[in-house]
Amino acid sequence: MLRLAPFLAIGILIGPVLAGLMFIIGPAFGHAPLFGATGFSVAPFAHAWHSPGFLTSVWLSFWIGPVTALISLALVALFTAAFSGTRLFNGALTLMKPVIAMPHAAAAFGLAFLIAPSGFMLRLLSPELTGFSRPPDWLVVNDPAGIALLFGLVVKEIPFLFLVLIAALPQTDERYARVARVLGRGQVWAWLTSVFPGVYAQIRLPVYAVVAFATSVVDVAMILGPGTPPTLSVRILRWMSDPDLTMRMTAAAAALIQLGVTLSALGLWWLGEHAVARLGKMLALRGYRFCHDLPLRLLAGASTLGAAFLVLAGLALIALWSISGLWRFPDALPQNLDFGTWMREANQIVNVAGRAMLIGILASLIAVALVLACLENEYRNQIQLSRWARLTLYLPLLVPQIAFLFGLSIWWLLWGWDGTIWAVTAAHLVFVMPYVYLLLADPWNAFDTRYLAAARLLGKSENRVLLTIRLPILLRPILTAFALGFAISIAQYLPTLLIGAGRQPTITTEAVALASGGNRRLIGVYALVQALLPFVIFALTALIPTILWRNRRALQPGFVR
Amino acid sequence: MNPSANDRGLKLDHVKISKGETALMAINAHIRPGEVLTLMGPSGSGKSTLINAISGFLPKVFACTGTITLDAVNITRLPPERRRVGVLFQDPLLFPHLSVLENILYALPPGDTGAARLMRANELLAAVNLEECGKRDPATLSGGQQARVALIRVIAAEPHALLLDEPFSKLDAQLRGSVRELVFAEVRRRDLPVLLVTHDEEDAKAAGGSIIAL
Repeated sequence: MLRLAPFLAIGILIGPVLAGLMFIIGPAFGHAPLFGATGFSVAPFAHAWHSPGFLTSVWLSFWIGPVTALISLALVALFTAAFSGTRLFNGALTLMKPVIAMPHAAAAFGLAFLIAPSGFMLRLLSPELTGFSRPPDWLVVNDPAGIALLFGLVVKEIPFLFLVLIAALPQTDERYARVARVLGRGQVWAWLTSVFPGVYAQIRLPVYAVVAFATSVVDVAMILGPGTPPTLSVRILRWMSDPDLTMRMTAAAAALIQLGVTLSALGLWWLGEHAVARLGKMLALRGYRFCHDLPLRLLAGASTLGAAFLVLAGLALIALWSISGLWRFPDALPQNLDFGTWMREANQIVNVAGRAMLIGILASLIAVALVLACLENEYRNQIQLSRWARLTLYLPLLVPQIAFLFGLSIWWLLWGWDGTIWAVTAAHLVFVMPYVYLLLADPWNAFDTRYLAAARLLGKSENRVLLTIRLPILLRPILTAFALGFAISIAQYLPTLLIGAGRQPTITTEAVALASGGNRRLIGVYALVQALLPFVIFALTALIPTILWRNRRALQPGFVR
Repeated sequence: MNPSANDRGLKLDHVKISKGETALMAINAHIRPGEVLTLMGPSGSGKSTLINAISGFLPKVFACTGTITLDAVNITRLPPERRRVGVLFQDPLLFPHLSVLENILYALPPGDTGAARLMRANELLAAVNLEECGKRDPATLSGGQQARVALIRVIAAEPHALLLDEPFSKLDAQLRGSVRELVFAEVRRRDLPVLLVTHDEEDAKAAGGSIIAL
């Protein structure tokens, strides 16, 4: 049984991606019996290409990936270089964790509420400092250049990369940075040239995942991104939902173009990676010291902490809007509170939030069980994950969702699976599993296996030892991985929409659908519920080991023998 | 019929351990019940590898030839839980999620009623003067107390041989003597064959058996 686990896991990670891509090749080249077209033609490509503003969409989706990754990685690296080992650094981690748990859509709504011309920031400054008594006619959110989208992505990716980087730090020796400082390098430059290369080698794949994600994200682009023309991914989604079925073939062609855009962005990043490495090495070997880095440290500190703060402030603002009564510009606060929106939406909220929770719990439970089976199999058969296995793990995070989910929905439509809650759960599992594995592997491998040897020698079988010793001792990381898996599932917009075929509305699809409407009270209610669901599960799962192991000192977080 | 006196105890019959092409160690020995055989050698001399081979945890990169028998039973290919070999590790390794008493109960062989098992566990605790500590979290015990619980936990499983993998090396000098005495008194009382692995001369002297230097 256990030996089957890795095959099942690999099948779940690779199968949908490959099958999904295969199933759009036909429609992209004009062969789609499902939509009443047979034969071969490049018309779908031509149609996509000649649609107004197509190249603008392609260009936007291309540059935003590497630029998002570059800015967020640079800030996180500078911040770590400047503050690693300080109390501020640990404080930042506490601030970042809730931001990571928050779904992208809710975070994007919060930012929009902050920075829009009628948003909270301008309200704070108006009319005293700005003189505005009406919201100015600025295109700050949904600006055609995509700056708001870039901003939203950077702010949300900073905490993610920060956590990824912190997880990689113990595998490097931070004392190298001290050596470099003794050799006369400034604090930031010392860390960047001595520790960062080793760290980067560890976090490369998550950084690639950020590049790929930013080139193809849909929900954040619908909330913060440009309207006409939108990003390529949003454009594809519109074609997919067009009542004219032949437009599905255009969508399929554009999905293949999206795959090319994402791969090109990754290629550009790869080239940039090597260029930066060479440049850095050259500067380091020529003996440049860069000692005056105080402004850089201040910039890194302010922007990294600022990013987390903005997302959390956005969350507070969402909450306030959901219960606000009359709230005229430029009032900083609403004149009265009104729970009417909550009352009116209560039934619908319970329905869609309940479905989201059911899918999230199912997907995360399956993912945790399967990952544990894989890890136990690795332990029993003394298997070390190869580089290819790691790449497999990241495959669903590197291939754009919109490119393969469309094909997957066609496949499952043929099998009559689409639109069921099981199909949606299965699609979520593809994205939940990599994160659950990455989060569980470290504590699993750090476990002192002599406990297992001791238990075996007391006469217990392998399975018994797994159930009575290893799983209970690792209860805390297992529950944390479950909560993270749940949070990932709640954040999934595209799989829910496409695989659910519109018949499985969740809190996420409903919230994102409100983006174009601009009813802030309604958005506030749905976005707040979406943001709070992961927090509730994180809190509950943290409570279980705290109660269960309250009298077990060695199982408290941070226990050192 | 009982196995003849000559078959009893732990027999290492031409046991050779190698990693790839390199031979790590070879040993041919018969430890009779109540006897202690001490292996001495610097770290990296394959002492712990031999312990792993006898207890059934030899990593796949190693190869082991020869036969290991315990009381006339060939255990060379048996899974660890069926070898009836007890091991005291360098650390006490008390299960951190179980209480002290639960750690002992975990080790007792199945069978018997709950009440009988509880009585047996408490007897063992009393034998090392820890009858008051049953309900406690093992992490709150002192180093010497943890070492004593680790000893009775191994004994509770009723092993037919005991392997000691530098079990005293992490105790401070004062404790080491008393814990060592306790362990050796216990194994003599139970007439167990013992393999002691150490790099401490004192341990070897206290064990009182024959010594093989690697």
